[in-house]
Amino acid sequence: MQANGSNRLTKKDVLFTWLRWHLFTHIGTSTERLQALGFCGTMAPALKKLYPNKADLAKALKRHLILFNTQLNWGGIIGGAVLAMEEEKATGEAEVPDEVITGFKTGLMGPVAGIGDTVDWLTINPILISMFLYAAQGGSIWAALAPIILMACISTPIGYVLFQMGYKTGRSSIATLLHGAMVKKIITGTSILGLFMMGALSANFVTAACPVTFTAGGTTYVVQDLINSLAPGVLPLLVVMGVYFYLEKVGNKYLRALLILLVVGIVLGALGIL
Amino acid sequence: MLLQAIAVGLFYWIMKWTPGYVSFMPGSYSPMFMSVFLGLILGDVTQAVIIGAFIEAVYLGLATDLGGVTTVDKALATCITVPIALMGGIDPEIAVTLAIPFGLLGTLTTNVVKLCISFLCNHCDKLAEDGKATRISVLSVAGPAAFWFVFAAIPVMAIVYLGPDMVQSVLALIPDPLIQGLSVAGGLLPALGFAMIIRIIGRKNFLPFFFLGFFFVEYFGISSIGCAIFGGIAALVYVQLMGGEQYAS
Repeated sequence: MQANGSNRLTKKDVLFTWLRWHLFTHIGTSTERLQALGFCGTMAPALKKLYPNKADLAKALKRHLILFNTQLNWGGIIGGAVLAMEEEKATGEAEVPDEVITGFKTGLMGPVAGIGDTVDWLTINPILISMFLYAAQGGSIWAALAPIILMACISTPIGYVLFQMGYKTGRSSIATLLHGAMVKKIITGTSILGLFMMGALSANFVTAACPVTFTAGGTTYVVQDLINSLAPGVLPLLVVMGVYFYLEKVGNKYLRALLILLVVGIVLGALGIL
Repeated sequence: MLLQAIAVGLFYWIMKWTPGYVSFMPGSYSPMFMSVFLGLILGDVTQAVIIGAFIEAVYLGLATDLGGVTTVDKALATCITVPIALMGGIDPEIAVTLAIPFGLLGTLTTNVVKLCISFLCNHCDKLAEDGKATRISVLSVAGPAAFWFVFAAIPVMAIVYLGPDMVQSVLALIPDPLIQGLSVAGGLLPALGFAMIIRIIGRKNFLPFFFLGFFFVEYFGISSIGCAIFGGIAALVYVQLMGGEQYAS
């Protein structure tokens, strides 16, 4: 690709990207794209250094403004690897196609979140809280503070190590992995895995149900029950596909699509149709 | 009194803005942790911790915010209940009943802020077009801070200062259909994020794999790790079957 005199990242750049990742990525969570804004904001300073050419920088920023959601502590492995991929791409040491970066993110964010949520939020955190709850009910200040301090001491190093690991393995493996015939296979594979995972995630995230009831022949039917007996999830799928084909038709008019969804949701919700 | 209400509001603001993922966020989910600081603001740490621990017990085992879906706002429950119970000399057991409705009310403001950030994303699309990396980086942190200040800090200051009865009468003014409509819209909006990704992956002929993943979850409720296993196998099988000269460079 373009070996356009791009800068390499120093150890300090990687460290600061992790710091931003750890401190800020979750802050920009939105209804529509989840952690996309945080992800892009975290990577932006490094991307700015990597892509001196404005057109390349714009492409890189847009690449990371798309839906992203994971458990960020364990997800550090994704952040680190993406940083490495962008570096290889920018310096031209390995030809990293956009599809590989996007496919890698979308394919991994779900399973990594599954692991991280289970370990951090459903295991370590509740265990620590219940260990100290009894003492806190007696009014002990230290017992009230202890679980959170201990949680930070246990989890933060895990997140740091995973981020560095993602960065190092990303750098060493991408160059050897991405050559000739292999590239196309990887693009195909990551695209399929990415789409599969997006389908699975949208089943969890997009909700639409029709609570309307009607009476026929003395029996009352709930429309949603009828839909469920046909195939569960038809309505959310229709919404995703509707937005998809709308965007295919009008181009990248995201703001307009956002406003339409918002108005349709509020009106149909207020009328009790959805 | 006014100063304390402002301090409680600012504390709630920091709790909702939450920089520092696992090093800090668990604190905003832990009533007994937050009650220490509320106790310092209000001048009775021991009693505050006792009330906080009671609220903690109510929510024990209820993980919030998993997968980006906020089920209960423990921070709002705590930041309202602890000051009001302390100032009114209410027993912890009774104060806890206040926590539940405020915990639910907080999910509404949380969703409003996340909606505001959706519009911020759209603004950043334009900034990305112009390669304004630094602006995006700053906005991704400062934008949400501003939204949380308006929708989290100020209402809490008012509630703590005026007392919860005022809140009930103000809330009664918001029509139910509007709240219902907002929650429906919140369920629809992620569809846009997913539609964008499908377009960016840009392989129309692979769309069946999207449907496959979708109905795997709808019919069997498989976890995301399970989905990664099946999706990975599907990808491998496809690549192998299509192998041969198509991949020769």
